[in-house]
Amino acid sequence: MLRTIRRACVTSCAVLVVGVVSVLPVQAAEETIKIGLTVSLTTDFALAGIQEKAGVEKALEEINAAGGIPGKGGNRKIELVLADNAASPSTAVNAINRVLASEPVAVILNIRGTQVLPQLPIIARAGIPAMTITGTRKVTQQGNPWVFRFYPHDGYGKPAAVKFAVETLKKKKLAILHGAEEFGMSGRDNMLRAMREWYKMEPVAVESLQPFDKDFAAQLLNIKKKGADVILTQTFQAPSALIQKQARQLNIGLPFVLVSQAVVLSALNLMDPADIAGQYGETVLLDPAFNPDPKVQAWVKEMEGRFKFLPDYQAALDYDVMKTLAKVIELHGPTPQGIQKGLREIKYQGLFSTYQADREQNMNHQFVIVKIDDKKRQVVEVFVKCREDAPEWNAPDDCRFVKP
Amino acid sequence: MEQLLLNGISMGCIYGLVGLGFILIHEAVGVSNFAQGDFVMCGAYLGVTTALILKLPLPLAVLVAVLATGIVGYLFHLIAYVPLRVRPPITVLITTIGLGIAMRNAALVIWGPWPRAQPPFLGTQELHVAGLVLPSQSLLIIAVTLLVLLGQYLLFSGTRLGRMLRATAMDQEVARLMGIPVRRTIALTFVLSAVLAGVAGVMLVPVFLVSSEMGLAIIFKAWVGVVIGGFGSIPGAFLGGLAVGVLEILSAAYISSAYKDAIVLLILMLTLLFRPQGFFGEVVAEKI
Repeated sequence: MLRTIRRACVTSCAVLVVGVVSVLPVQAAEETIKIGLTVSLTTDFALAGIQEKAGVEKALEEINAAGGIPGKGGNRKIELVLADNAASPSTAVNAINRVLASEPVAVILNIRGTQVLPQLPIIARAGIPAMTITGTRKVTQQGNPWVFRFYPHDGYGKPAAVKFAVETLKKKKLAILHGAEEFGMSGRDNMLRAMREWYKMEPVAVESLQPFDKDFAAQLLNIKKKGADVILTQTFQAPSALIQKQARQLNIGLPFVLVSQAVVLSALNLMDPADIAGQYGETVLLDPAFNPDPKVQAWVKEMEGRFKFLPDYQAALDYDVMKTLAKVIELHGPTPQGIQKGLREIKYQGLFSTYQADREQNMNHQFVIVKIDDKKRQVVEVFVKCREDAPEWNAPDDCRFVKP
Repeated sequence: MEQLLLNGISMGCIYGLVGLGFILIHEAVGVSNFAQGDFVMCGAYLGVTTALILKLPLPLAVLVAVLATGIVGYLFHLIAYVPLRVRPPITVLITTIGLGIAMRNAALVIWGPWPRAQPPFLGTQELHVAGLVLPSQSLLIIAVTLLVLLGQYLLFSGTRLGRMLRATAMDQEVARLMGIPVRRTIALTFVLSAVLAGVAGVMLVPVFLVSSEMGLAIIFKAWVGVVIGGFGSIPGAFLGGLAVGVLEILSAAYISSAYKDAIVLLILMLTLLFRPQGFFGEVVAEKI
């Protein structure tokens, strides 16, 4: 019996070690081009990490199946070097160090600014191009020449949410409900900027929540008590779903302009249609499952067949990131300097968006505001298109609303 | 205010149930089990599995999930306690933390990263009384907690098994001399503790979303409740949890939602400074 228990202990420890720190060469071959990927594959944030990994892997499999990336010495296949951030800034630092130890020519970082920010100094010291789909504004404000962002950050999206609430929904008493971490505060600050600079107004309430909070009654009732007529949110999928459920249970009865994480497919799957029907969300693109474009639908079908789940915008954007990177390597060679130069110069039409760097190296300047219908589908309310040389929405003509 | 109190009591009941499980093990073997929150997660996932995947009738699904969590508690005791029982308590405590991480990773492997949701057991309709919204699941949590407390009181005060459990908790050597099978009784304590967490987990599914990390949100608050209530006191552990649930929501509503956890921590520090034995218990410093 004791031997069995000891064996169980040893096995548990082995599982633990592998789970906590894993650097897995996903695919190995001679003369491959190594690309690093650090995402959260454990903890609650694996929800995003698994989508991101799937998007990168799909693109990589297509590129390798076509023979690899053409170059001077012939075609070279891509090898992915993967490490788990475990939703922790300190683990993210370990993860990027481990990935860099395998000498990749570029790295793809995850969607969480909280983990991306501590990785940036290491990226700068290593001189390796890093691509991310985080919306956290600060990421491209650090003056780091190696970072490229493929998501229209909070400096575009949050002013758009405020403008939509004030001008389209005709609301005057705005409330903000945000996460008390980098992602949430980045969103809050950009909403406040737009309210103060454009509309000379203050929000009637600003409430915050911790990432692992489950009960939002106090925040929601406070917002209602202070007379808000619309709530703008900035937090992750799981709390977003709970906020919608509890808002309905408590009869809050206010419209929401939600963060992209609240209207992403995986968040919608956690709610009843009645929890979210009629609410609005600001997001980078229609989640692929809701996009009627036949090319996108074919991609969704392939993704579902390959990974056994429906891809969301996180998988879609990282698919485009990997494809853009492959094109840049093809044009400029598999060196960090070549990739950096290529990413600064390229205008790439991906499957989901067009990518071109502004002076802060933000690559994506378009997004949508959607309405959720009674079957939990996203329906486009407005497209938002920003100038490709505008690093954020400051002047009124930096971006414009386009009716579908 | 009344609405907030109701929500706070509902959350406090969960903290209290987890705190009860926590204190049972602490009293029996002198060790804090920091995987107690992961047993809540385990119970919640097993509840989802029996109710939504196996599609068992709800009462049976709940029963099977709670009993299965008890079995996990027994296995946990075999790994975390039996081989290490002669080692210093800190060894067992660290093992419980490690096994908690292993349980979370195992849940991720078994059930995947997608949080699971389940409709309230009594339907999605809320009761409206005097302007208050009474979600059916919150009322159910409060009712079930009261039943569990009554059951536990009857077990400990009115049965031979309960007396054996109490005797073992008081002094293992004396209990052994009196013919009580101490090892089996300790195993039963782990099972009972896991069952309490399992009940909390199953009841929480419709309120929280189930995910591998859900226990982390609970164990910290439950532990604070145990310290405030007093290590060594079963009523204290429950009332402490209840107090934390209410304080947390009132702090968020009337002071600051940003600092509600800091306020709970401040109360913990003040308790440790001015009443380290808690409001109902004995001094904790010797135990940890």
